[in-house]
Parts: sequence; structure tokens; C-alpha cells
Amino acid sequence: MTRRTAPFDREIEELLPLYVNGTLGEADRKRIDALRAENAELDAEIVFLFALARGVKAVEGEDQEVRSPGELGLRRLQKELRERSETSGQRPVPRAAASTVVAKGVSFGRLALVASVALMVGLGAGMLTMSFVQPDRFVAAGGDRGAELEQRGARLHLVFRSEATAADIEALLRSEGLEIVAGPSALGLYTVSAEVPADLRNDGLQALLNSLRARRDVVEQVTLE
Amino acid sequence: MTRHAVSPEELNHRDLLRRIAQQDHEAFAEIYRAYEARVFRFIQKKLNDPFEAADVLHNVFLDVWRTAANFGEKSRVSTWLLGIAFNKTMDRLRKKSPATNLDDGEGTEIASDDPSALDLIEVAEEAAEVRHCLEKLSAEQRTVVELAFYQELSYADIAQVIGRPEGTVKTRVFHAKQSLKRCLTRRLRKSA
Repeated sequence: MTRRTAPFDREIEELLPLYVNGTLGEADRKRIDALRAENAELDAEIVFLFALARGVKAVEGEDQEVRSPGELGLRRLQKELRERSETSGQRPVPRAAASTVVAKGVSFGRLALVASVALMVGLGAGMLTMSFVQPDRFVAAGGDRGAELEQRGARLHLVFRSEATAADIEALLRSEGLEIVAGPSALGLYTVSAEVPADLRNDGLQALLNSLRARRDVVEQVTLE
Repeated sequence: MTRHAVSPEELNHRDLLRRIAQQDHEAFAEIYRAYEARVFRFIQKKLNDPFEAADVLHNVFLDVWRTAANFGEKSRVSTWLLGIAFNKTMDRLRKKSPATNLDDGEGTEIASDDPSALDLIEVAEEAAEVRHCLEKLSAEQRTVVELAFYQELSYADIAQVIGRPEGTVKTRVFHAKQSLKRCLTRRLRKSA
């Protein structure tokens, strides 16, 4: 068969992006296949569009370096939904979904990456309102629990190591009885509340500071507020 | 014109939405994990600010929780989600810049040249060149290009996402493609 080079009409041209992205119906696909076999110009246009689609995907691929919120975003949502259901008097939100995050072994490498991005990139405080303490202790980043928590204990400023995973951080916070009450700041600084009994305040705080400073695998910096 | 076969994955995701409509939190987590990265990238491309994009993403999924019962199953789950994301992103852009032009933007044609087909194919695969030319498109054209070539949606699905008639989508894709071709041609000539 001799291929000719001839213009093709706009109706055909409008079908080509769908031919390339695979959403064209079977009948139209066959129609384009037949025309393409006969028409070199149409064939060249299709080859160009396939190349363009690869180029667009390459651009999108480069843009994927910006990480999505991932599991942290989900936890923030779960916290908000739980709070809403509690305030509206609906049945409490089951916590199973949140707890299975750990149990099912969701990629903590990714979680950690998001956490470290949140810390490293230098978030505008309050702009990205996500946090990664256990779900029943969620506090919006950039927010502040205020007086209630201040009454219960001291506050510390913490910077987590960029390579610390969210699981590491969560475990540390839980084991030390800490709760994030604000942050991250533009420098990745978190404010945490420590529940230390008043009569043990000085010794207890010092012990806590020592304990946190010993965790160099997770904590970059810790100071009393 | 377009395919309507429903994949097992799509059926599963529709089922998740039905469960979300019944306040099923595990189904919500599952649908979030299935789509959040894709939806986030879609938003981020328009806002160019990962923190704002994360905020919009949050609101998109709150809407999913609230309105899952409204999913009509006439479209794909991804189309429905991207539609919510598109509207919320446009709202955000309008708030940031009330003068944001959301019209067709089809007057951005670039003067035509005829390159060698092979050279053009080569340049069309180069991310840097394509990025440059994508940035020359109007926001509306860029959106439909992304939806067609990256998200791989049909015209009908794109129309649903952006809330415009299918004919408008076809026209936008047509003009965007022409503009990209001309821009790439100029880039090609410049580098020759």
C-alpha cells in the first residue's frame, strides 16, 4: 500500500489525544489505525503526540520530587473527623483505621521522608497543619493547645533529626509522655508539652532532658522553653 | 467514542465510596491512600506551593467524607475526585488573586513553523523543552494537557473535572497541542 501525505480533518485530529492516552473507543481506534496506515502525515502526528505525552509525563515525573502529605495527611484528616463527630454528638470515630497504620506496616520510609521534608523544608508555621503524634494526641501543627496544657506541665522545644522516622518520633513521644502542642516553626522547631508532676518538676525535667538528649538517633536539639 | 469498561479496581473504589457514605473510616483511609498522591500532584501543579496544596488536599478529602453519597457512579472515582480538587484549587487561586483569568485563553497561539518531524519528536520528549512550552500555555490549556496526557482522561472525564462542556475541552486540547507544537518548533530552531 502506498502511503500518502495529506491533511486530515479536525474531527480526526481531535481524536488523536485520546488515541494516544488509550481512552478512545474501539471503533474509533480501528478507524484511526486504518487511516494512519494510509496517511504518513497522520502517522507523524500520532508519533509526535506519543512523544509529547512522554515529555509531559517526564515533566510530571520531575515534579514528583515534591512529596505529598501521605500518612501524615491521613492522620490529620482522621483527627479532624473524630473531633467533628465528637462535637456533633455522633458515635466516636473508630480508631482502628489509625492504629492499623502501624500494624499493617505502611511504608514508614515514606512517612519519615514526609516528616523530614516537613522539618527540613522550613514550613511557614501554620501553613501545613499536620502532625504525627499518636492520633489521640493530635494537635494541629502551627496551632497551640493553650492554657489547658500549660497547666499540666512544662514545655520543651524539639528539633527532630531529618533521618528519624515518624515511627521513631511517635514512639519517643509516647514513651516520654510528650505531646506536640505547636510547630513546626519555619526552622522545624516543635513545642512539646511534658507532663511532669509539680513536686518533681526540677528533677523530673532534668531527667527528661537527659533522656531526650540521649536519643541522638531521633532528637537533634532539645531545650526548655 | 470513549471506553466505558469498569475495571475491578474501579469497582473496588466505588465500593469504598459507598462505605464512606456509611461513615466507614477504614474505607476512607483506603481511598485516601489510593488517590492522595495523584490528587496532591494535580493540586500542586496549579498552586505551585506544596503547603497550600497539602491544605487543599485536606479539604478535598473532607469533602469526600461529607459527599461520598453524592458520587453518582456515572464517572470514574478518579474523575470525581479530580473534579473536587479542581474546584477547590480554583477557589484558592481566586482568593489569592481575584484577577486570575480562568477564561479559555485560546489566543495564545505562537507563530507557526514547520520543523522536521523527527526533530520535533525528539524535542517533544525532552522534559526541559516541554516544561518551557507548557509554561507558555494558559492555565486552562495546561490543565487540559495535563489531564489528557498525564492523567490520561477522556474528553468526557476532563469536562467533568473542570466543569466545562466536552466541546470546550476538545477545543482547548486542540489549541494547546497546536501551541505546544509551535513552541517546540521554535525551541528546536533556536537550538539549531
